[in-house]
Amino acid sequence: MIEALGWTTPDGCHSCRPALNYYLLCAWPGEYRDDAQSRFVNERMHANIQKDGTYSVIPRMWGGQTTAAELRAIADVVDRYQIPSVKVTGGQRLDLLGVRKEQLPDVWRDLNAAGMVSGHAYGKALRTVKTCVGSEWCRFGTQDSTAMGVALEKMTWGSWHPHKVKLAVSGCPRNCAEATIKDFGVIAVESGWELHIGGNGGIKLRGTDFLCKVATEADVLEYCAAFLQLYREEARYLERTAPWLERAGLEHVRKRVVEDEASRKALQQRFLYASALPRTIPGPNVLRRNRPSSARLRR
Amino acid sequence: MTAEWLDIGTLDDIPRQGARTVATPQGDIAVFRTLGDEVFALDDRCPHKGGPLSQGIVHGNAVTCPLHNWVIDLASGEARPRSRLRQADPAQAGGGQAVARAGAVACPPPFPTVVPGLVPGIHVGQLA
Repeated sequence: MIEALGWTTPDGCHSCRPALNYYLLCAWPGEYRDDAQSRFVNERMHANIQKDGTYSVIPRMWGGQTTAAELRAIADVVDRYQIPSVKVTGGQRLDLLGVRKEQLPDVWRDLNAAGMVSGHAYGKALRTVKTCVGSEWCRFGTQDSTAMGVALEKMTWGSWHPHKVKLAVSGCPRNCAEATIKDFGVIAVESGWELHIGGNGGIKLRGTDFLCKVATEADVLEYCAAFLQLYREEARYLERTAPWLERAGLEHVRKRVVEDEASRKALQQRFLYASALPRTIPGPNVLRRNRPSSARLRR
Repeated sequence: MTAEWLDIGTLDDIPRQGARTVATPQGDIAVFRTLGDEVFALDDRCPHKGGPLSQGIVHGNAVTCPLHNWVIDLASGEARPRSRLRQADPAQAGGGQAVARAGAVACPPPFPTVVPGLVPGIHVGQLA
């Protein structure tokens, strides 16, 4: 590819190689073989490198929900590997900080055994789906926002994107899940679900634009998949939904995702196909064991 | 520094455009293999904040540090000047005196430290 395009260097640089790897993966999800050497270390290690060279590990917590069994398994991992710091993240999960690189395979093996997968908190990927407790508990809740968030996360996890992608579902317009500063935010109302797009916190705060209102949970899933696929296909690598939306225009997105049903369904199908593929790889298991002798090469 | 060579493994032990580390009493050494099968060894610490270079993306005869994207030349161990650094305002650059000098190599010597038995830029044939 690099040769065909007449690159001036035979193997590019740290900026273009991850971009090229993403574009090829997005365009040919079934055919292209992911190039590990073109991925940033975090996506190879399934953990987030910290300033001292240790890593942080965040298991996925669907819709921000957890159980006693999961918490016990996490606590056991913290004790067993003497992980120095545990922090609640802004994305409603737990961050285990200070894990040494050589501990990562064991930490992930134990978390996998307890049924937990990577939260992709390091990736240009679907990160988290933040939810409030919704109509199941809250006296203001109009719909089951937690279940909606879990359904969205089950559909979208494992999908690669031009940049990180965050979702949220609020059970009423009080918006406790802060859905209006997410890439795709859902706000429940009595008569259905409002869909909002293109928000982010970060360096340049941007509130979402209102996309449309839909009636059912199935609609929310369909529109979300279509929107994310349009973003995956049209945005530049490292461009979040907010600047992409400003560049592409809200009307363009409305046309492709809301008005044109055939376009929406085609986008949805491509999204579902592409995002299911990475999940066939069992767990974050990219690390091999170190060689025992310290005088030998090791990872 | 000695002229002695250590057998640390074979070329196949290192992935192309990747690195492996060797533990020594003086700290980890990162051994890189480029796309063109050249092999280089450096301290596994970047000159900026001590980042683990072995975990960086290898391109050409350089590696990009995973902490702050400094591009380190594999042959010299020095950071390659970047336009962003060259444009840095000296007053804003704080303690990084090397950063503020236009075109200067942003690497305070001595780096890399030479480790007994391993010389930067070792030849492939001598590694195996």
